[in-house]
Amino acid sequence: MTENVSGSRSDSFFRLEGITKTFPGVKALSAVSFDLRAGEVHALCGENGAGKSTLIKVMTGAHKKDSGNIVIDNEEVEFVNTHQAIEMGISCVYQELSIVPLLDVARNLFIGNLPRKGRVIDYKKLYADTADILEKLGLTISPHEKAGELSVGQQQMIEIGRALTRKARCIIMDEPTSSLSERETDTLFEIIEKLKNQNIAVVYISHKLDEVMHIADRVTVIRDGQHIISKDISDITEEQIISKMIGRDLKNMYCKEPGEPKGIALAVKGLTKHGVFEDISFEVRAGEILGFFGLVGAGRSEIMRAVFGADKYDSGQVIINGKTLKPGSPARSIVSGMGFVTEDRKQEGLMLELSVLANMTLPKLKDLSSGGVIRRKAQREIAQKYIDSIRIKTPTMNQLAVNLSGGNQQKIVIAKWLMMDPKVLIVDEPTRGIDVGSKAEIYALMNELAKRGVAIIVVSSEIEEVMGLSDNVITIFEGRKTAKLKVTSSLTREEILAASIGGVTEKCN
Amino acid sequence: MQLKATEKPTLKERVGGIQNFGIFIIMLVFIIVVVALSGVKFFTPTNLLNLLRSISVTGLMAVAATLVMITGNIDLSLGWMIGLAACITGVHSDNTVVAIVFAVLACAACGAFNGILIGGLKLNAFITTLGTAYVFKGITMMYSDGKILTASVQNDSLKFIGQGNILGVPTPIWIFLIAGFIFWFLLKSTTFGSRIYAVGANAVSAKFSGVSSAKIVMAAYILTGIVTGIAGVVFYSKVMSVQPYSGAGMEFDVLTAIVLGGTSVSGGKGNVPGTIIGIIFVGILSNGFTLIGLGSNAQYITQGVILILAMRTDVMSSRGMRG
Amino acid sequence: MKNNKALKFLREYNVVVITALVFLAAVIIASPKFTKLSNLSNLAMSIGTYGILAIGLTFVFIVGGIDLSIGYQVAFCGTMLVIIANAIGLVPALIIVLLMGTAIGYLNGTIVTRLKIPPLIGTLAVMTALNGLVLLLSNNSGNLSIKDTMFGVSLPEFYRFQLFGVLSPSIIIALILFVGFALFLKYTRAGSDMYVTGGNPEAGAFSGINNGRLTRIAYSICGLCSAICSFLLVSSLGASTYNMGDGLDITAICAVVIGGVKMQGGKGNMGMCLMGVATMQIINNAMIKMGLHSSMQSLVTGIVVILVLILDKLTSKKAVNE
Repeated sequence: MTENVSGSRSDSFFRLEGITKTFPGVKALSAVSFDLRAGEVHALCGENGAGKSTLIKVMTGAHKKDSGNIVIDNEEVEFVNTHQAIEMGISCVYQELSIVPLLDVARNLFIGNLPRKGRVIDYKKLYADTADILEKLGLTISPHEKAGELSVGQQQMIEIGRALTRKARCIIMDEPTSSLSERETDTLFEIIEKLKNQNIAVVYISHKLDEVMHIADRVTVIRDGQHIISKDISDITEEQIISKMIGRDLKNMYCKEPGEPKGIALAVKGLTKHGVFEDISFEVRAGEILGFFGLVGAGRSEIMRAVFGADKYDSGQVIINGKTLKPGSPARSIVSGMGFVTEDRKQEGLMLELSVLANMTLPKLKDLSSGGVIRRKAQREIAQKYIDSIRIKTPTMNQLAVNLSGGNQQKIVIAKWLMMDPKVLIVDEPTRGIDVGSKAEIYALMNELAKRGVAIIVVSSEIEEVMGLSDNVITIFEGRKTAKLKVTSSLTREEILAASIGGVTEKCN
Repeated sequence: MQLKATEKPTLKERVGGIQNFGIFIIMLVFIIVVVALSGVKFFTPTNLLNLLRSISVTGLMAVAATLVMITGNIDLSLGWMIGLAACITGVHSDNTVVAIVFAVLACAACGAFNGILIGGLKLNAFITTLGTAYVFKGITMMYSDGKILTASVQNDSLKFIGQGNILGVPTPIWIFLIAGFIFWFLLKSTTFGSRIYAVGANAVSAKFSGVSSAKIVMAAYILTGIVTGIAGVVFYSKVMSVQPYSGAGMEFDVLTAIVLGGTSVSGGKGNVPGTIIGIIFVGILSNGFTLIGLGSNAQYITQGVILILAMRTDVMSSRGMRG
Repeated sequence: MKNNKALKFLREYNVVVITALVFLAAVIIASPKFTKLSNLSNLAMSIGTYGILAIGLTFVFIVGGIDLSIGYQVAFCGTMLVIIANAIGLVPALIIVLLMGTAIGYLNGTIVTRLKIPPLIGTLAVMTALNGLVLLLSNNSGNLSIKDTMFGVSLPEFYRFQLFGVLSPSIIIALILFVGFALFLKYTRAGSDMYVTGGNPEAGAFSGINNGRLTRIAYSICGLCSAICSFLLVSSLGASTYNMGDGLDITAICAVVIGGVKMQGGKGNMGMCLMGVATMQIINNAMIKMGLHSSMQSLVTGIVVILVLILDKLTSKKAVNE
C-alpha cells in the first residue's frame, strides 16, 4: 500500500523507521517511515488528523514512540525529551510561536542558551551574536526590539534564527506561511534556500500545495496514520498529491456557478479609521460572493470588524438592507442580519471549553427562549438539524468544542451563523489550517448560501481561493481600496497581485 | 458514525454539582471526622440552628459570587460590602424597610462600582477588588465611626429576619435557599446564564456572537452586590448588633466554598449546587471545630490543607489566575 | 522621531515620574510635619522594611505567580523569632527563622509546580494554614516581647540606629538585597530565565529551561524576604503581635503593581519594585502626618490602587495580534 520510489538511501542522516504510536482509543501512527537528507526540503502532506502532528512530536521528542526506530547518522537514538532532540540538531518551528513577547529579540534568539563568561551572562557577546544571525537572515530589526512588537513573519524568522543558534541540522516548519504575506513568504523561501546551502534540512508541512511544489525536493503523504507515498517533487503532480491525501479524486473544488445578481444587501460608504483604513466604499449584492484580497496587515480584517461592529470607526456608514447601522455593536449587526466568521476560530470564534451545542446556539438564544428561559428541546433540535445538514463530525452535541478537528470546528462556527439566516455573511480566512476534504465542503456550503440569496464577503490571503470563489474581488493595500475587479476567465493572478500591492485600477464594474 | 444527539441529559448534567468526585470524597471524609469528634454536641437543635444561620450568610454571597467567578473574575471586596450593609442596617435598625432598601441599594452601588471597573474598563479583577475593598472599608468605617452598632429599639420584623423561623426552619435558610434556587435557575436555564458561561469561556468569541462581556460582567457584580446587601441585613439581625469589621475575611470563605464546589478559577465552568455543597462544608468545618474546642486556628490550618488536597485531585491545568 | 523617544521614555519610566510627583504632592500637602528630617528618615526606614517584602513578591510575579500568604509568613516568622530567641538567643533564632521562611516559600513553590495547584488557591491555602498557626502560637491574642539584644542594644534601638545619620539597618539590608538581586536577575542564567518562565513557559520548556525549579526558587526567595522583613518589624516593635501581618500582602501587591511589575509575569525588576514601594510608603506616611483618620486612609489607599490600575491600562500598548 505504500509506494516508496526513492527508498531510504543510506545518505539520509535522519530516519524514522516503522514508527507506531497509539493513544487511548486511537492508533495515530502505524509503521510510518520517514527519512531526511542533508540540505533537502522534504514536504510532509496530509489531512488534519492524518497523523502529521503526532509524527512531528515523535521527531522532536515530545512524544515517545511505541515501536520503531529513530536513527541519526546511522546510530539508533531514543529521545527522552524535546531538549535532547534539540541538542541532537532537530529543531521545530511550530504554528503557535514560542516567542516571549516582553523580552527583546536577542533574548528570544538565545532562550535558555545565553552566552556566558563564567557564571555571568555576557551581554556584549549576546548582542553581537544576535546581530550576526539577524544579518544572516536578512532581517533589518534591532536586537533590542521587543519581540512582541514584531510582525508575525518577523517572529517566525526569530524562531528559525533560534534553531540556527542551536546548530540545527534539521528544521521542521509546521504551516509556516499561514500568517505570512506574499512578501514575507518570499523572504522565508530565500531563507530556506540559504539553509539548504548550509546543508541544513527542512521538513516543510503545509496545506498550500502550490508552495510545496515550488520549494520542496521531495514530498511524503500521510493518511490515516499510515505512510502512503514518498516521491521526488519532479515525479509527482499537485493533483496526485491531493488524491493521495484524501484517497479519492477531487474535481474542481470551487465549483462556482454564476448566479443572477439581485438587490444590494450591504453598502459601505467612506468607512475610515485613522491609521488603519481610509475611505473604504463597496457594495455587495444578494447572492454575490465578494472577495477581499490583500497582503497580511493591509487592514482587511480590521475593515470587516468595523463593518460588523466589533471595532469602532471614525467616519463612514454601514448600510444593511437599506438601514444605516450604528457603529460599535455586534449585537445590533446580528439583529440586522449580519454574520461574521472570524479569522481565528480558536481565539475569536469558539468557546473551546463549552459544548458544540452551546457554541452553535449562542447568537440564536434569544429566539430559542421565552421570557429569558431557554427552550431546551428547541435548542437541541435546531442544533441537531445543522449538525446533520453540514455533516459536523462529533459523537454528541455535548462534546466540548476543543475536541473536534479544525475543519469541524470551523463548521460549528459556520453553522452558528447559518441558523441565524443572515442576509450578509462575512467570512475571514474560511479555510485557514483546514484539510483539503473539509475545504471542499466549506466551499460548497458557501456557494449553496450564495445561491439562496445570501451576500457573502470572503477575506482571504490565498489568491487561488479568492479567484475560485468570488464573483468580484476588491483589493486592499495599506488600508485603502486599490481596485475592484470582476473575476472572469481572463483575470490573471498577476493583475490581482499587482492591485494588492498598490497598483490602482478600476476594471469593469 | 453519527450518534443521535437528542439524547436526554443525565441527572448530573441536569442539576450540576461537584465536577470532580475526588473533591467530594475528601470533603465528606473531613465532615464525618469532624462531626464524629464533636460528638453529640453537634446534633443539638441549638447548634444545628446556629450552623444553618451562619451558612446562610456566607451562602448568600457565595451563590451570587459564583456568577462572577464563572465569568473568570473574582470579588475580594465582599467582606467589606457585607460590613457596610450590616452597619447600614444597624444605623437604621428602627425601620426595617428603610434598612433593607438602603443596605441593598448601597451594596448594589458597590457592585456597580466593581462592575464598571472590571467589566467596563477591563481592569484586573483580583487587584481591583482588593482596591475597592479598601474603598468600602473606608466608607464603612466612616459611616459607623468605627463603633459597634447595637439596636436600641425593639424591632420585631427585623429580628424575625435573622432569628425567626418559618415552618420550623430558620428564616435565613429560606432566604438562602430561595436565592440559591434563583441563581441555579439563572445559570442553568436562562439566556443570561448561558451568556455568563460564554463570557467566562471566551469573552472575545462571545463578543463576536453579540454578547457584550461588559454588560454581563457588570450584571454579575451588581447581582452580587444586591445579594450581599441582603446578607448584611441577615448578618446584623442574627444578633441585632455588629462590629464594622466583622465581615472582613468572609470573602476567603466564599472563595474557598466556590472553588471546592468545582468552579474553575479561570472561568467558564462551575455551578450553584457545587457552591452550596462547598459552603455547607466550610460551615460545618467551622462549626465542628468550635465545638471540639479547637478554635479558628486549627480551622484555618485544616481549611488550607483541604483546599490543597481538593485541588490536587482536580484535573485542572495550572493556568491559575494570571493577570 | 523625537516625540517617539520622549513617549517611549515616559512609558518605560512613568513610575519614577509618578513617585516623584507623589513625593512632591506629599511635600506640598503635608509639610512641615512630612518634611521633618526625623520623619523622612522614618519614611526611609519603612521603605527599606516593606521594600524587602516587595522584593520577594516581585520575584514571584516575574515567574508569573502570586503569593497571598506573605502577610502571614511575616506574622509566623516574627512570632517564631520571638519564641525561639527568648529560648536560645537572638542570633541562632534569626538563622532558624530565615531558614523557616525560605522553607515556607519553597513549600508554596512546590504546591504550585509539583502539585500543579493554581497559585491563587495554593497560596491562599497556605495563608489560611499559617493564620491558624500564628493564632495557636500566640495564644490567640499575643504580643510576645523579645528579650534579647543585638550588638548590645535592645532591638528597637538597633532598628533605629543611624549610620552617618541616615542609614539604619533596614535601609542597609534593603540596599544590599536590592542590589544583589538586581545583579542576580540581570547577570545570572537563573535570573534571566525567570523572565521566560513568566513570559512564555512553553517556549522555555522547549528550550530546556526548568520552569519548575526557577519557580520554586522565586517562591523561596519570597519566603526568605518575608523572614527578613519579619525580623525588622519585630525589631521596630521589640515584640511580635498576632496581627503584624495584616494588610501586608495587599500593600506589597499594590506597591509592586504600582511600580510596573506585571501580574501575568515576564516583566519587572528591582528598580520598579523600589519605586512602587516608595510611592506607597510616601502616601501612607503623608496620610498619617496629615492626621487623616484611618478610615480615610483606607479610602485613599483604595482609590490610589484603582487610579494606578486605570493609568496602567491606559498606557499599555496593545499586543501585536496578527
